[in-house]
Amino acid sequence: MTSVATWARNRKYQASRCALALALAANPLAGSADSLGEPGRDAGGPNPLNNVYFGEQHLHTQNSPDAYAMGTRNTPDDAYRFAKGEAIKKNTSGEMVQKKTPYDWVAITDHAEFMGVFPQLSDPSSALMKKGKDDPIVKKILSGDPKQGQEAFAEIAVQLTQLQPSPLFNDPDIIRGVWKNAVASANKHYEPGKFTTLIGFEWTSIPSNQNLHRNIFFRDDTGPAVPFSAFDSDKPEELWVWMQSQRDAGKQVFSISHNGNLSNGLMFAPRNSEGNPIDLAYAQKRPKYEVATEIIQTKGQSDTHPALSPNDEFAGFEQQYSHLIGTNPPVLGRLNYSYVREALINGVGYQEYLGANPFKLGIVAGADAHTAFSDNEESNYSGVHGLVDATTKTRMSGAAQTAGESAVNFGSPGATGVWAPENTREAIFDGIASRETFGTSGPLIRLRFFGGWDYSKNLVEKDSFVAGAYKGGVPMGQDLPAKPDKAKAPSFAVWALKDPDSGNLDRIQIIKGWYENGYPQEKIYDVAWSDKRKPDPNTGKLPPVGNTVDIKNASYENSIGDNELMTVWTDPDFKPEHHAVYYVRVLEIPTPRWSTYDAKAMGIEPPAGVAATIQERAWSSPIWYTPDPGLVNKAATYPHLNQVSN
Amino acid sequence: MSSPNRFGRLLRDPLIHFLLIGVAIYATYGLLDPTAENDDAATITVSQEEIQSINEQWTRLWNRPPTEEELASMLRKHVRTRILYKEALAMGLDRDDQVIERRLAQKVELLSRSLVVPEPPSDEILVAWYTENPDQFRAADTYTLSQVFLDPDRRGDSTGADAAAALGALQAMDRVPEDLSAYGDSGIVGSYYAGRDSTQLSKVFGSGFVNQLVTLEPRRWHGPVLSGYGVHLVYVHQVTKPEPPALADIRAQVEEAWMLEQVEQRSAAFIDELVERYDVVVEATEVPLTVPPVQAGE
Repeated sequence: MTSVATWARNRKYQASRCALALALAANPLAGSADSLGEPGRDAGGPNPLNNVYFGEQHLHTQNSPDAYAMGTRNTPDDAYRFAKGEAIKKNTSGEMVQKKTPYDWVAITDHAEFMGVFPQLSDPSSALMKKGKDDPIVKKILSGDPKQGQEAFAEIAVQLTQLQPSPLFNDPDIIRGVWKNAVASANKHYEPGKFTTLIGFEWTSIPSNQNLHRNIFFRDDTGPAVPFSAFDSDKPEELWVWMQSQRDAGKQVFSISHNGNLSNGLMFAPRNSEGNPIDLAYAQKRPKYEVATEIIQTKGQSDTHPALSPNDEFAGFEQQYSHLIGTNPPVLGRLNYSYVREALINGVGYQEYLGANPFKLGIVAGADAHTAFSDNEESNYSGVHGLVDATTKTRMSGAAQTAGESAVNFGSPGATGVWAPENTREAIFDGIASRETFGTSGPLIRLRFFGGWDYSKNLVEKDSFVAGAYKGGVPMGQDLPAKPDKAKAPSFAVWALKDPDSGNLDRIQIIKGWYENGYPQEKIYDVAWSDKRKPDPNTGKLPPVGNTVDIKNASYENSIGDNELMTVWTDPDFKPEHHAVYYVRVLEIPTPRWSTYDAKAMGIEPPAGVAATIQERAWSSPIWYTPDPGLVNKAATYPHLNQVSN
Repeated sequence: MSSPNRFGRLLRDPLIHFLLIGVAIYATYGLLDPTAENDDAATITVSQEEIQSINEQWTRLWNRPPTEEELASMLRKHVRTRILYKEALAMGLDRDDQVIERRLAQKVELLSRSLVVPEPPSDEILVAWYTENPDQFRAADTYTLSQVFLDPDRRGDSTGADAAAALGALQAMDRVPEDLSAYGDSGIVGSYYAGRDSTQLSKVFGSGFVNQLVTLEPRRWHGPVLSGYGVHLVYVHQVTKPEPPALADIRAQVEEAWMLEQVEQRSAAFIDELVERYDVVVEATEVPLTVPPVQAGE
């Protein structure tokens, strides 16, 4: 966090009574009322060129049984009010918490399994309280003792992982009532045009502690009569059957997967739930229901892993979380088929191999906080697991806590940007459904990404940039139009603007993945960067932006990096016969990690085992290139896609 | 803490009876140690329920019931803890322990809140209260502003000097010229925003800028106002304080706020009354100028 006061020093700002002439140098861009990347943002009505709306698509409140067992008593109402910018008392610490920059929209996604059952226990007149007062788990939860709460959570987790709910907690009448209340709360806080609440829940499938979780979202203001839970089925294919039944009943619904990084190779596996290789029907079906995936949240980053992307110098980011989900879960075993980048690349491999892409995923990010608070601001982090990490001291204790992990291994929540004409439930839902979204590690970085065949080199410098980019191509989340005969290679227009409350921008990268001779390939291009740096003439590598972080004082200076980066980039290695996928990663300059802010507050060294400084970042949804079938030479085998044993 | 005769006086007080009933209710919810009730001076009674609970704990951990020996060992441990707890109380070890002190004080405060639930207010009371407290229901103030942005990425070290010069020119004019483009850089933020509240503006300029904006005197040029982007020169045309909404439109919300205030007030009054019963003596060699009032909730 750079205070406004230190900003002046950072920028070597000195007030002086200097000559007028200096100030009045004419600027060719002056006069336009809006930001280059967001024309029409401030015009008032729905914007055909879309505005960015930042928000949360993954959040738990006391209605999630694990959150309740962790001591969380903050409600959906608290969650919405916090996201809108109000100061709210965090029950686990007694502290008032408040966002610096409020969100535009929020989806609360409490677990469908045992949803809202435990808050009812605090109401002695509730049916559940009468039914369950002698239940041993109920007793522990009511003890108010964090240790017993943890034990209760452990026992509930066992019921969940073994899919053997006790009838008391899975009582359909109780769950129906809770769901009705959750929907009512979402509707109460929905202010069209100002603040959107999306209706959703989490389907919590964890076969053998391996995470296959999906959040399910609805476009209307009622959602389903009752959520579909892992007790109904823990197989994604059966979730899709249920989603189809909702669509058949006239509902609009999609799902977003998360924590591929904790799936032990299951989330993007080349097999279906029965263990059979993915076939054309599966590849066609999955993207109809699963429109996006979460690239980062408190339990780590799912873009890629250094072992999977050895040439990516920025791959090692927020990956210290090493266990599976649950109680005393084993340590993660498999990396392959767990990460988004590999899935996107295998996706275009399937497109070539089968003729359909099962992993046509937009990119979002989230909190997965079990506190009701989306505290995405790194310097404003107050823990995500109830009593366990509610205070600086408990967060920094280093003790093994949730799922066997130390609290310092959890990252601060991510944030999602959605491009939409207006801030309504329908528009936000449609924006995610059409994948015009991006995820960040927390800061509200603004990011545009377009692809086309004849973008001019100076497109991003013009006032008409965004209108021209939509007109001459597609936004993120879409397929490039068919290649015109005369076109040599696709061009991509990209624009990023920093979060005014966070670090400056270091660089924009375009990550390209493609299939060649039956094998996945990836390459990372630096396409725009700050401070007029020159790539090394021998290696072509861009020098690091530097690091201004004062670790002891948990401060940094925005004296390096830029406010805004933009360019039009043409793929220099384009081969018209290769299926390809492109997405953007924007990096900030290094800033302190939350644990470094906490260390400063306690007057201690930052904890070992996690980075003291991080480069926060944003990832766009991809743009895909599919060749004309006549150009494609299929490989004889696709070892990453069709081997069954793994 | 209190002397025995003072405690006797407390026990006769109706408010304290109320509180003690509350403690009993809490105990049934497991917030207090329910086992304590089973013991008199020199007897430890282990109930069937406690034995069953110990049994269940073991079974969940080891997936089998404990053997007789294991159960006996657990019970010995349990009884030992209870005895040591009683002894600790007898020896007064619960005193002068800040953690225990704060925890118990917190419990009383919590009780005082949950026990004084007010009746819903009459229309008359609510109208009067709303008339006196409209501010928390009023929509946020809105600002109409013009601004000039000077971008350090383009101007580098001369940003400050450029800003000072432009500010001088604008202040000399003492109004907002039709075209501001000659004074600064565009491309990141707009030059005119009409009727935006601080939440909306923080989404554009960041929270640092907004914290300064709200202090600016309208209808004159100010600068430098700093944001995460750079230097701004700002002219606030107008600050609008919206009228509070009609009570009928937000009645439930007002009632909720009134109830909350009642609970707070009654809880504070209750604690104040407790404090009243004590003579507070502050021993200090350095003479404090004033004795700070004892705050409810501490």
